[in-house]
Amino acid sequence: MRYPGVGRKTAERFALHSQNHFKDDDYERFSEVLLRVKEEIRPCSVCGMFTDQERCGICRDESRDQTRILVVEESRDVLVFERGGDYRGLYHVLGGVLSPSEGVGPDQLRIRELLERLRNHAHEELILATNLSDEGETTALYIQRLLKDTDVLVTRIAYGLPAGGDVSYADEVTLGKALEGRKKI
Amino acid sequence: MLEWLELHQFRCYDAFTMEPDPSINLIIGGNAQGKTSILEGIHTLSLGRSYKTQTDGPLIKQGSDFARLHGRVRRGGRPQSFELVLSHAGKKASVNGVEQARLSDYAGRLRTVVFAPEDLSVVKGGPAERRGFLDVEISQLDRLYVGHLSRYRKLLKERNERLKQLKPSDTEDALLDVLGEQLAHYGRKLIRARAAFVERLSAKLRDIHPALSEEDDFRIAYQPSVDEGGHSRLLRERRAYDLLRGSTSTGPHRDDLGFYYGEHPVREIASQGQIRTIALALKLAVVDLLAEERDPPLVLLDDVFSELDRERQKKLLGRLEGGTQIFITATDLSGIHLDALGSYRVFEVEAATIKGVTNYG
Repeated sequence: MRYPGVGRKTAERFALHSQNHFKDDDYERFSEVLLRVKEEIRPCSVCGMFTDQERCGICRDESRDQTRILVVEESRDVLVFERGGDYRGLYHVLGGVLSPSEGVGPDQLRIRELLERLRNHAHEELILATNLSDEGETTALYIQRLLKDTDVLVTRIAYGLPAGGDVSYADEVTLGKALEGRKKI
Repeated sequence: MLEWLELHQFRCYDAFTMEPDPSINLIIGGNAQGKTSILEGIHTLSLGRSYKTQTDGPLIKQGSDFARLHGRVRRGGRPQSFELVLSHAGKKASVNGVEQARLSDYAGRLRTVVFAPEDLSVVKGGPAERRGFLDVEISQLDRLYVGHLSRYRKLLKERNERLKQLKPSDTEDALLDVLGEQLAHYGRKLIRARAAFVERLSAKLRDIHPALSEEDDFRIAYQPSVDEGGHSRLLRERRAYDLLRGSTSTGPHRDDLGFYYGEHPVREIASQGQIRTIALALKLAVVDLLAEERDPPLVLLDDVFSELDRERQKKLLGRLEGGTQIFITATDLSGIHLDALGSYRVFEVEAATIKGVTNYG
C-alpha cells in the first residue's frame, strides 16, 4: 500500500517521526481515525461527494441554490470550488471520466444517478466542469448529448488564461480556447 | 549550424564529442563501428525521437539508466544549447538550460532532414510508411500538427475500444457519437495540414525531380481516406460496419500518398534506381520547404550518398547549397567524389571512437 506523492525519503521521515514523537494514545487515535475512514466515510447518496452521513452537508444545506448542479470528475474538485466560495449551488461527482480504453464507460460513472436527479427535481442549469483533457471533453459532450432534448440549460465552464496569466507565455491551445470563449465587456 | 555535439550513454557511445565543420562532414568507418549512431544522435537531439526506432529504450546504452544528448547550435551569431535526456521513464528536453514542459515545444526548433536507406520504403512500402513520412515532416513545419496528431490517435484508440465493447447491434450509442465528432474535429485539421503540405511539396518536386531524373512527368497526389468535411457523416454511415470489425474504417489514419509517372503508379513500373531518385527528390523538397521558412535544416545522409553516381552526388550537393550543414556517412572515401565537395571535414570512426579528424579544402 502506497500513498501518492510520498516517495522513499518522505516515507522514511514519516516513519521516524512517528517513532520519535508519537505517544501511546497517538497511535490509538491514528488507527482509530483510519478505521473510521473505512467504516464511516461513503459517497453521498445524492451527489456522490464523500460524507459521513446519508446525504452530504452541501446537499442538506437548503440555503444553497437548488436550481443549479455543477458536475465534476472527483470529490476533490468539489473541495476546490468550495474553497473558492463563488459557487453556491449543488454538485454532482461523476467519479471519473469516460475512457473506453481504460474500461470506463457510462455505466462506470455516476451518470445514471445524474439523469435520475434531473428527472426528479426541476433543476434549471447543469454546469459541466470536467477537466480540459480529451476525456474530460468527451465526458462533457456525452452528458450534453444525453440532455439535448430536455429543458435543462447545459453549460460548460470557460477555458482560457489563468488569473494573472501572461498572453505571451500561453500555449497555442490555451490561446485558441481563450479566443473561442471570449465575451463582450 | 551545429558547432558542438555530445552523446553520453547513447547507443554504443559512452562519452562522445564532436566539433563539426560548418559545411560538410564525412563520417567514415566500417560496418557497426557507430557511424549511423552519430546521425541518429543528431536526429534525436533535434526531433526528440529517432528515425530508427519507435521507443527510446534501444537508444540508451546497455546497462545505463539514461542517455544524454547535448548540442550547441549557432544561428545568426547567438549560440543556443539543446539538451535531451532519455530515460526508461521518459524524456526531458531543455533549450538554453530551460526545461521544456512539452516535447512539442522542443521538437522542431532545431530542424533536421535525414536521408536514409529506409526512405525507399516511403515509395515501395505500405501506406503506413507514407503517413509516417507526412507526419514527421509536417511536424517540423507546423508546430500545432504534433498536438493534433496525438489527440487524433488517442481518440481513435478510444473509439475503437468502444466499438469492441458494444454489440454489433448497438448502432445507437451517444458515446460513439461524441467520440466520432471529436475524432472528425482533429481529423479535419490533419487532412487540411496534409493537403497543404503535399501541395507545397508538389510544387518543389516539379522543379527537383526532373533535375535528377530522365522521367519528366513524375507527380505525387495526396489520397485522403475521407473528404475534409465529410468524416463525421461517414463515421455515422459506416458505424454498423465498424461495429462488426471492431475498428474505425475511415479517417486520416487510412490516408495514403500516391506516386505517379503521368497516370501510372510508380510502384508498378519504376526501377530500383528510379525509386531511389524519388526518395531523394522527396527529401530534397522537404529541405527546400524548411529552408524557405527559416534557416536551412541540418541534412543527414545516412549511407545513401555513396550509392549515388558521380553526377547525382554533384546534383544533390548543388541543390543543398547556401549554408546547409551536411553530415554524410560512408564505409570509405572511395565512393565519394571528393572534387564535388569544396571544403569538408573527415571523421574516422572505429569501435565507437573517433580515431582521426582531417580538414580538407
